[in-house]
Amino acid sequence: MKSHYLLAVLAAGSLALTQHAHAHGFAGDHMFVSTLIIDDPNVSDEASIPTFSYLPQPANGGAAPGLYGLNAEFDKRITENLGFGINQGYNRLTQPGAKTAAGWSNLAVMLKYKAYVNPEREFMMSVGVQRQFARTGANGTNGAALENDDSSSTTPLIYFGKGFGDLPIGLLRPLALTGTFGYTIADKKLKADPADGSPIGNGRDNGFTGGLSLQYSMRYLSSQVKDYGLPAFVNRLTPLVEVAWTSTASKPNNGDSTKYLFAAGVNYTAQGYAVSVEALIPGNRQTGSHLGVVAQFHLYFDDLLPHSLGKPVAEWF
Amino acid sequence: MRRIAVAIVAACLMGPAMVAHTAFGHAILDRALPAVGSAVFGAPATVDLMYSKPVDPVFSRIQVTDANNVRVDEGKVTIREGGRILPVGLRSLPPGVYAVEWHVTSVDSHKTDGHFPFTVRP
Repeated sequence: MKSHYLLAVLAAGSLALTQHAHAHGFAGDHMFVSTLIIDDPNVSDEASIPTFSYLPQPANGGAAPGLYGLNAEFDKRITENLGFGINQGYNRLTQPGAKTAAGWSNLAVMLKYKAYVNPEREFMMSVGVQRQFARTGANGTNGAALENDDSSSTTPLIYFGKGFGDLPIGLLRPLALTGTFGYTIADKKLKADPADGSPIGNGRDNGFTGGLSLQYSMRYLSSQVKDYGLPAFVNRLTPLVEVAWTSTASKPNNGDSTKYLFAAGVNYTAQGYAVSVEALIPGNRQTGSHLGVVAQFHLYFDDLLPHSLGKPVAEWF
Repeated sequence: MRRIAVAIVAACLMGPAMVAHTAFGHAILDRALPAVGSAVFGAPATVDLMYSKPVDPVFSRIQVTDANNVRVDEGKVTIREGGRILPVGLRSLPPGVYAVEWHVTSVDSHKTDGHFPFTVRP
């Protein structure tokens, strides 16, 4: 699989490698907010409509191609702790001196189970599996330019979230760390050329994927630690930084090294919705050299429609 | 593409306006009197908790304890402002550090909880 754009597309959410089930994830007093380039550990009834992103791509000496992404995601609980998600997006790649490529990303679905919550320690752990379906998005020339896989893949994932409310230093207690780690298994592997061992075919390599987010909840600060009398708007903000990474895990592969992408910004969580804006910061040459941006409008159905779409399917009957 | 980006930003800005007045949801502690983590001079008569959404007093409780973990509140939770403010009466408090622990259920059954300290100075 050519993967120059992998993390950028991941940032756009269009492959949905890590984007599912956000926010209202309470572990004790701490709520993990929705994160934009990695998935959070919670299982919930939510939608991200839309997630918009822009990230200049690695230039390879010339002007940088620009990747725009517009992504939608829907997450639904089946039981209190078991849920699924559906994710798809539309991407547009402007290439200086070449034709613009545009098309849908491959469809991704996810099943996630919130396995453990320790309210006293503000800790949450979940496990999940994601399935990406090849050829459900753009294919041919556009699909190749947008890096849509020709091979479906399955990714088992583990997630965690930890609030720091048990720290003895008050101003550190609003901090929280969330993370995810997964292993992507391709249906159809790349093959090795008998002549020189280089990869051939239209499969993809297996790979590791993961990420972390560090959040600072102003709501936690004002309602659990110390109220500094800041405006209500400020008390609903959560500044956060994220990092997502991918690396290959099998041979043959395209020789791509591990890729890092950082994001830093702020989340505003209100009653029923959240808005997030973050700067995208390439972590190494594999993810480019120019800043980008990602923004999301997020709906919480458990707030908006608590008696229908906002409760688990198992409680509908 | 620029027009599309402007339209997306506009949709994001209009979205909150569309959902803000229809939301039920979790009751989040907006303010407290005495304020969270504050030090007050003289014993307060009540602890008032102000929430983002109305709460159901039947399924809500507030507990105030002193440094020896002895309850110093009068127990009964009432509501004001249509359920957005929960005051709980206090016994006469000597100077010291006190802990407030609250568990509330919003009118559409969402549960939230939390705790915070405040200090009474002589």
